[in-house]
Amino acid sequence: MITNGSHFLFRAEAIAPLVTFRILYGLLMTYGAVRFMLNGWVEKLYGEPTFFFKFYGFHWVPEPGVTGAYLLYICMAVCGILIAAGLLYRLAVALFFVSFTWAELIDATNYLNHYYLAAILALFLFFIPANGARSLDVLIWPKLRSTTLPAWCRWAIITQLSLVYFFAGLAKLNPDWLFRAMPLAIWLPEHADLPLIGPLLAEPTTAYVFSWAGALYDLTIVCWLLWKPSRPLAYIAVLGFHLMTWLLFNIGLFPLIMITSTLIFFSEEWHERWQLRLGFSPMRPEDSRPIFNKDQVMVKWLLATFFIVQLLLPLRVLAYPGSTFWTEEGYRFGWRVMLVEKTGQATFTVHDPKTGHRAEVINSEFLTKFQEKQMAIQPDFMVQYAHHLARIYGERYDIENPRVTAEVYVALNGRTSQQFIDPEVDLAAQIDDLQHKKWIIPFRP
Amino acid sequence: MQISKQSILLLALIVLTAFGCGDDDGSGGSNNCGGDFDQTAMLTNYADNLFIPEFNELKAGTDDLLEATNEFLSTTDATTLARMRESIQALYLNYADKEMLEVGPAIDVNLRAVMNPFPVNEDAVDELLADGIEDHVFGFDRGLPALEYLFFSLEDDLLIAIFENRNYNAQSRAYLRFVVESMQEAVATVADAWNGEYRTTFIANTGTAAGGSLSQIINALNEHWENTKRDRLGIPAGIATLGITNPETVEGRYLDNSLELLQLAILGNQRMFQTGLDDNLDAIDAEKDGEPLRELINDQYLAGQNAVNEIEGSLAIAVDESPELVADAYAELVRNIVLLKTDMPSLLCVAITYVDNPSDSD
Repeated sequence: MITNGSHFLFRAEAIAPLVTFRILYGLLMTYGAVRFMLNGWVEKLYGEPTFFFKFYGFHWVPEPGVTGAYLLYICMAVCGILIAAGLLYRLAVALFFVSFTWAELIDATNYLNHYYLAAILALFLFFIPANGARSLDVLIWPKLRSTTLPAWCRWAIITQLSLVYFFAGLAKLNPDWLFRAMPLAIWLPEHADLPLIGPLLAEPTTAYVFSWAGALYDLTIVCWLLWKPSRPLAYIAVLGFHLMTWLLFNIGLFPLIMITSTLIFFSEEWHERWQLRLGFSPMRPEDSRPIFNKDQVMVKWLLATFFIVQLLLPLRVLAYPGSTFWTEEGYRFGWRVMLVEKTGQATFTVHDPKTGHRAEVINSEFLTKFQEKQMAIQPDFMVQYAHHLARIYGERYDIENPRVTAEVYVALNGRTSQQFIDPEVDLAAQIDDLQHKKWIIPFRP
Repeated sequence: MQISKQSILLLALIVLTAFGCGDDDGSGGSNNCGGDFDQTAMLTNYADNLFIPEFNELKAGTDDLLEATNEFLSTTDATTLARMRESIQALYLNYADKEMLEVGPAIDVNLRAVMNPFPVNEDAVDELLADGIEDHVFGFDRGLPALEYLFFSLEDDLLIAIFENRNYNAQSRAYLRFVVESMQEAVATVADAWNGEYRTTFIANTGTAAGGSLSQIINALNEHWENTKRDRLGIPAGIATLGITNPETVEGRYLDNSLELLQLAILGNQRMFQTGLDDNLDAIDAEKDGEPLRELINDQYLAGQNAVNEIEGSLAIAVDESPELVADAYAELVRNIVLLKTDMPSLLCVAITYVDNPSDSD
């Protein structure tokens, strides 16, 4: 068993697929960082807020301010180019990973699944010497040259992408998605003014067709990509699916990340052929180096641990009672994409326990509209916000241990709203941990 | 490899079909989106029976104020001053049930900020009278509240002394002219747009997308309702300040007509709802807990009006003298927010955009 496994993971494969991956990933990340800056999002997301929400366990992450945030994004943009060019590759990947992850950890309301995916891919690249060919590094340091990589390099990325698709598909197997065509029935008619397909999108049936096709796509596309005879057709499906989502939804880089990353499913020869066609010079057989992984056991353990975590993280929703769509518990890092249309309305009240006086909180004083929108549907943010309010009101009005309560109403997938949390519970006295929050009022279908 | 691939595929298909066959026709609930309500007819009604007549009426008011101001500035005496006061007071009431019409051209000219930024910053107004308006960035020192502060808190003699045609009055006269002219211009721009091409644009902008006319109406309605409950009642009552009341922040402080203005704001908001959103809700059988949403919303408007009616005399006094009545009225206004802001757009499948998204989603 073990010998078989090591044989497979450490078999030499042509480096070409990872070269393609390296170049496209780098360019995409640069594009993403530049686009982010040009859209003014650095100001909006890092400059405007006066309070930042945190991920569990990452409250210590320092807030760099707007200038600092700009530096992070400039660093990402530069590193992206360096990664693509394969110049100072490993340093560039490391710097990219640090700046990207840092930027994402500053405010948890900005969480997007595809940012998380981009960070994971950067982490992989750090351990994959994808600069062994067709890079500037090998011109400077010829001894870095290598025409092969161990097979695990490509398979780690394939496994990761498969997990993304699989869990995204699994999450779609819910009654709202399948039998109410929600939230696509809300989102598709918004594009009724598109040329050609617009009128079609306004048809109620279309939302059902898209929902079922989307679920089928997510659950099976990996199989079609892995199976050589169906691969070309499957990739056309990848293009069609992601270009469609790119056209219809405001999902930024995600379609491009998936379209470029899934090229990794294609064979070594395919990548080699295309790189030659695009003008790269052929690799020299004498540059083939023996497999470099000296500590194969270590690599195996690292991969096994990483992917067990990747399997368990999305499955942690099973440990929480109720529907994740409603409670949001275990929602992040689980590849639950494009599944809910939610609006929340959260009115917080700070109480002075001594005098009985109360103050209704005007959210716009403390949060940006975007933060308020995210906070109003996610219970852990409500706890963080309540702690912040208790601190501020405590100082402003000299209150000892202020209580903070909230009237929260949430509407899910085209339904009427329901009260989301117990309006009596003192949120300032709650701890933002990973335990189930018992004060969430269960969803009534 | 081959075997595992195929078994994954098989498993996936089994899972999918299992879920698919499970209770296909079981949950007939489906969704409300994409019904066949005639949105064009509704938007036409909004344009022809709300926006256009309302802005024309408002324009008559600002035109009259401009005329009164010109008369007052050319012959500054007790007669023109009386006319000035009448015009300001009439325009206040005229605008009070139109503030929710902040859609399209009204947003472009920032109408509410030009017409009714309250509470007025009296110190800023005083400074402007003395120092002039050059390079000044206006905030809470213009519009109806500024005019009200000047013309309803100061004595006749003083007003005439401030504004009569003397060299040393150049600054104050320029300020008054600016305040009135900017209001008149803004309203004229909006009214002209509605009487011109914007009507067509507005009616043609169907659909549920953010930026569509339906979405704009709902956004405007909600923003106005939230501002009304917060600024017209909540802040004066001290809801945000731990029971420390702020009577000086009421709308219409010197005219002492805060409650009348509040009722007009509620009526205006209700009229906007009743110009077609209500029919749209009926058309999709919108219900909440078994009750038609239309009725729930209308009942809640009524409950708000009744509760405000219970407050007697002056709001600035009532916030301290009968805080329970004020608190009750505030609570009734708040109750409509969930219905208007969360339930209505959700059932109509419309995205609320004034909670805008500066980023991607996924």
